[in-house]
Amino acid sequence: MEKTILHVDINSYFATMLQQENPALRGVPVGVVKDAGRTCLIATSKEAKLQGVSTGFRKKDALQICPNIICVPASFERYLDTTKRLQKVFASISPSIYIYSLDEAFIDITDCRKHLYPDVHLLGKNIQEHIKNELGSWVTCNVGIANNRLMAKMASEVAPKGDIIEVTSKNKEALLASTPFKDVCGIGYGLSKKLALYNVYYPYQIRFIPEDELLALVGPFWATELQKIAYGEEPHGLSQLDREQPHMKSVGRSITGYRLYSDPTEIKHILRNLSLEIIEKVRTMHLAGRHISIGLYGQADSWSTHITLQSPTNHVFELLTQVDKLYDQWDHSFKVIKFSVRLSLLHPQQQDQLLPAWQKLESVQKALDTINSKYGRFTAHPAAVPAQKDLIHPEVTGFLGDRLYQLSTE
Amino acid sequence: MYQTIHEPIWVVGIYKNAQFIPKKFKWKDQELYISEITLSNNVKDGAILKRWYSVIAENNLYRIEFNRTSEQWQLLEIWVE
Repeated sequence: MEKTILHVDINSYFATMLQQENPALRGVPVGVVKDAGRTCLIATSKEAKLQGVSTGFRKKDALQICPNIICVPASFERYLDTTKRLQKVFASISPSIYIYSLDEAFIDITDCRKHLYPDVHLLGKNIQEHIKNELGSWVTCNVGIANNRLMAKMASEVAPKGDIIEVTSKNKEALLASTPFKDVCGIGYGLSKKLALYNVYYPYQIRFIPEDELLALVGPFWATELQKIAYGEEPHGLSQLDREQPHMKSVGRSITGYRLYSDPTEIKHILRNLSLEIIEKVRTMHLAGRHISIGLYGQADSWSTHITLQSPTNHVFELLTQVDKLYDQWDHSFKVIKFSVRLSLLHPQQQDQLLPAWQKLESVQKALDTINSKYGRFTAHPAAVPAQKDLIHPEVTGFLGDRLYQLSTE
Repeated sequence: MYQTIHEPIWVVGIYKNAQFIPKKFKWKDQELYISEITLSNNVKDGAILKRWYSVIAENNLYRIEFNRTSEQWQLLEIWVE
């Protein structure tokens, strides 16, 4: 049976939700910044896009092009809650859904199309109405319908705002021949730049690159992937979404600072702060990890290192100790703007260890968990971490890389 | 821009379809009547559940919060032009 996949994409999600919330922002160009004082636009409203201001612009550049743009801090907790509500909307349509990012999802209606949704265009319209009723009248979405995820997503990417496009045998080739790589799922900036060297700007053109040349240009993996994309078939990355992931393999957290940092105490504080969040997540998911890595990024330099422990940990004191040890290996050769910590090789924590030292750490950690779950996140934390008022708190990324944690821990 | 307030408020509302709908609130001795709820969200802080409402009252936008554990209301932010 041929599959039927819907891709639903909320238009300019972050900005649209701010406009839904605040009527003063509706119809005017809005730029979304991560936080007050930040200068990079992480999202823009459709009005801003019409004036040439898009995601990634610096605030001062945006103001030059579009002096009436209003920059508003994002509200990630709201977005996450809204995504959870969208998840319920989609789950009411089909049991087979995949939340691809905060603002987009794939809905597989293959098994229920014949009896429940014979008119898929009407279903698309119903989804749009349902979303308006759930989130507000200002919220619009695109719906792409196709026989696989690649084409469904491509259709919704190129559809006009609030529109529905169904990919059929009649329009498939035209879509492949007119959709630029930036709107093709799986093809990143670097790859599209390489292809541009061959004057290849659209998936359809890949069909005409000789196989050996494509192989030499992008290597064996991407040569196969690009061939699939050229014919509108699902690439490996998207077909992997069918594979159930039992638990997260790693939990990481990175943050870009407001300025360049050179004070070792400040840098350590930030790394320790990020570690708190990692431990909270892995413990909530009843996981423990063995591989710890940290990364520091300057304007032009970067440095990273890692350690693999003999036994898995999910104790904050142990992680902080290891992070401090890793940090001490750094030669302080540049000023730091971005920080990252990652705990990987995660596995379910199946049984307690018998070592007294471990049990001591576990009992302290359990006490911290109890206090924090009752009185709020990070209410109690090790003294090596900055004071409560200066703490960096968790945030949701648009990509929703931690979807297993965010969407399954209630 | 949103102006941070974080002050307690007193809210009156109704229950409809098993949901609380705030209708007016008292802040600094003034009663403000809510004409529209533009957005509401459930958020979590540890095990503490909170409900955020964005409401229009007297043509201004207010972000108010109900702490479902302590059952207290707070005015979080106001939109100022």
